[in-house]
Amino acid sequence: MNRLRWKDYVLMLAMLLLCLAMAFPMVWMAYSSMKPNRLIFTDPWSLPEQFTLERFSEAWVVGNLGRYFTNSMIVTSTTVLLVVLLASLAAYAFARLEFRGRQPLFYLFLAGLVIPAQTFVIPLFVLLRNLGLIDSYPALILPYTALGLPMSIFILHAFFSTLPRDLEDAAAIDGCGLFRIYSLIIMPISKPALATIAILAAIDSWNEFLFAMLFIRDTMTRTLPIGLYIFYGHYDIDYQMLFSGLTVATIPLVLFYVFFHRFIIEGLTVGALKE
Amino acid sequence: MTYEGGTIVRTIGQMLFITCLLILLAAGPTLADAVVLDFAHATTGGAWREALTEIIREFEESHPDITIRENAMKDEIYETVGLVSLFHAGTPPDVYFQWGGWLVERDVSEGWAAKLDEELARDSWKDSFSSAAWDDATVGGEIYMVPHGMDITNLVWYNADIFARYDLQEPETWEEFMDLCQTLKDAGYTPIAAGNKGVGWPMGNWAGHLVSRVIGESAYDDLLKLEEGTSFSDPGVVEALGLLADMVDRGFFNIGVNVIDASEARMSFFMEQAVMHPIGSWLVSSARRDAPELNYAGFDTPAIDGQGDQSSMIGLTVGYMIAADSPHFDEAAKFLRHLTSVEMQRYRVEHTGEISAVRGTGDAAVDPRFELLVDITEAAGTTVAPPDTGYELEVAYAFYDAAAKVMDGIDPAQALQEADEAIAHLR
Amino acid sequence: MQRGIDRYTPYLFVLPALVIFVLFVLYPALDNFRYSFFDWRGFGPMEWVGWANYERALGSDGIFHLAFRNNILYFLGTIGSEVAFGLMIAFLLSKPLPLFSGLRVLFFTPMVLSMTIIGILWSYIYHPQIGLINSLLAAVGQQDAARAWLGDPQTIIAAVVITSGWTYGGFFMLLFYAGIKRIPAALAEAARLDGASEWKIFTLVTFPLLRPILVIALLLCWTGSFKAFNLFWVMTGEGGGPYHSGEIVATWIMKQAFQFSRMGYGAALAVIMTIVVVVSSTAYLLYSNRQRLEY
Repeated sequence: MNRLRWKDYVLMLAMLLLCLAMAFPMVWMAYSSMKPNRLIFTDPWSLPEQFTLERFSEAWVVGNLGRYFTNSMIVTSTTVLLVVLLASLAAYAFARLEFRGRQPLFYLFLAGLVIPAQTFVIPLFVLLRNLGLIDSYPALILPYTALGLPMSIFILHAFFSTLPRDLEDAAAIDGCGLFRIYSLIIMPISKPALATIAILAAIDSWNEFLFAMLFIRDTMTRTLPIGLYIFYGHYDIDYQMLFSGLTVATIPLVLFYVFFHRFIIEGLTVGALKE
Repeated sequence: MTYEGGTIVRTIGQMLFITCLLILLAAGPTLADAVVLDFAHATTGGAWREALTEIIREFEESHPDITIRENAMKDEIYETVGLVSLFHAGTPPDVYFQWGGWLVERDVSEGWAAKLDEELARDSWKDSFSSAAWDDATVGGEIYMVPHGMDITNLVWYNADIFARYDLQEPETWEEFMDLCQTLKDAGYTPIAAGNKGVGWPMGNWAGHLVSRVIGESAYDDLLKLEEGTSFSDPGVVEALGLLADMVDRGFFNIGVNVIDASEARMSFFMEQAVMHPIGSWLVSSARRDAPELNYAGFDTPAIDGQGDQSSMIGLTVGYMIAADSPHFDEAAKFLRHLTSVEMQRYRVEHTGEISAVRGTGDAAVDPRFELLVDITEAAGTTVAPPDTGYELEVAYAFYDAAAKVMDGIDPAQALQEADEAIAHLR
Repeated sequence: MQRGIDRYTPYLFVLPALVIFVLFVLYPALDNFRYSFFDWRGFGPMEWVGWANYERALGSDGIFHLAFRNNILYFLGTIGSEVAFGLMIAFLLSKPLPLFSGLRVLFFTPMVLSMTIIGILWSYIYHPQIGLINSLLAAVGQQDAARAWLGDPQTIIAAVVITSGWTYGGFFMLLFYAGIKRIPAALAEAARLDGASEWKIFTLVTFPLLRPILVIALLLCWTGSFKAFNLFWVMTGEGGGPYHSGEIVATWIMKQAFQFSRMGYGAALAVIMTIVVVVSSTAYLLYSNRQRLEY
């Protein structure tokens, strides 16, 4: 059964080549950063003559990428925290508790799954402006959280519904209140599902562009996607600088992925299964 | 029976507290002592970028209680959503760059612009500027913009070495211009580098100038103001765009005009891959930094057989404005006085080769191109306003779309008809 | 009924989420509907215009129609480049061969990159002068096929479709892979022993059992194609491409509201888009549910 037939070798080779082709754009971006502009212009495929890392640090500084990175971190981590907290509370109530309005409220959240963000960007802008939140972190944190809730509640609701009630019943008999049950019993065993929604919320929040462009103009609180876009605007013909900036911004993400990929992929596959 | 409300309330209370904390943190501490001037503009590169940095530095040194916080955006972003959204969001800059003419009018009607007559009258500040500079800065008889320079929005820059190699002269007529292009093409060059990516203002502005040359300046003005009886499909307009279409057909442009950014076409010109590049007077500033060795010159669009003033130039005055609601009017005025002082402007002209609106700066120019720019402005009988700074943006962009379509080989009549449809709702 | 609950606890559990959601999603979405009946520049007076915005959107706004058509094209394209591609890779990589789990990880990598980075990077891959595609074509002697991929109205949507496929292929691959793993191996083995080819196994065993996931995948692809903004904005140069050939509804709304300051009109466009998406998604889900019951 474990013997590899020649067909398998062919498949492996084909897949390997395909994956290398898929990875090539990123590789190209990285090595182009080490070529001078003229060379990039005249011979795009060629490999660099020297390996220098100077440009990377220059791009980081010039593009103010550190600041933007920090801002994205702040916004994303706060969003994820809020989403996990709020969605799990609500999903648990929807999954386990009987109360009037349960069904309609649940569907209300589900409606959020299909509404595109452009629908309310204009009134949201006005609302945030009236609240004086423009150019501040909450201008992004609050909408991102709100947008992350529907999917998270949906996934967690499905997950909680599949949990056996024994533990909860036992705890209740022991005199545990609902909140205790939620925090001490349900949450610990829900780690895979919580991981899934945390990852999804993190990816969406990190990449978000429209709100970040409209609601934050101050350099101090700007997030990474917009920072990179502006960097692109300034250095559009300084190819080397631009590629350096892109590479430098990519490295932390790739590192994060290298360390946590198992976590991420398992979380998503398990989460998908539960759907 | 245990009531868990306490724990819940506590947790919710904690969450509220954290959120409040975040909001407070984000609202940010304001510096109690120093005044921070928010300065928004569209200078992201070229020699002027360097000169501006120096000018700001000198100002901050001599005024330690004032700090300038710059918000520099790419010009296209600045013109379209950038500046406008700063005002929309309630976080307007104190001082900001603007193109004279319609945009100044727009700012005034939105209530964004501060009136400057009084301030200009103090210490004869107003007299330090050349008198021609005020047209584009005035609305309803009142001044709202401090003039800084005169932009020639479009002229044809060319590589003087290559011209010399083929014994070519600056063309006086459009026919001569076409012959010149053909010669270069036959010799294996890309005659003209153009980058029209985005809203398409580079080619759109040239197209606008051509239209004004063919149908006349006041007809052009009426056209873009959507006056009764005008239409983009008028034969004169079609004829003007036909001139561009003809050039496209004959292969005088690079490929992908609409996908390449203006700065990339400029790069192509600097790297001597293309012989000519139609763009504004600010090229001089870029060239000083990015192509100091390039031997180049420029000429205004050659004479066309048409109704308009064939010596006309397309251009406008640009300058800086102060926001009406700015709490730092005095500091902003101080900064602008510094910026437009003869000393700073001489430094600027020397460094960038741009034309200053301030008197007594002309002879500071070191760049040979400065002379030809001044010549064009002095020889121009009339100045035509560019579509996107002289007229309603939606109309301008519809016109630019038509020009962009022509650059892709689409029939001018069809392109202009579609433009008519696009702005029909505005009539 | 568990002890420790009073009548209010469930509401307290739901309340925080509800407050944030209502305040920052529902209320603005409803307010948007209100805005669509006015002509408004974002500040200053709002002028009631009734159905005028809708009339213009559905009637004379050719660019809106073009943008809508582009969205549909994009959706159709991404069914291939994202869903079908992801499905194919999922199937091919589902065999327990060495390296394959590593390759799955590799395929998913673009998903963790910032969309902005991807958009900028691919703008340069498609670049007429320095791009990989054109120089590759030149290297194999096909210079004439070289074009300005993002500047040519005929290829611009396709170019973004391919980039989307590169980005989201991994996501759909994982989705389908999870489903494939649920299929009892015995089924495939039995078919194999019976002499069925891989292709037959895929079409007659795997694919039918993946139907529920496919339903969800197509829905995500549909709603996702309308949400797409980032890639288009970055790759088509502030949205639109040359004379709107790459304009999608989302970018056109942005321009109307924030460039031309016509917030009421932008709101109307957003309402139309939402209605289309919501109605179609709901209908689709109901239909596929009914199908499943009969199945």
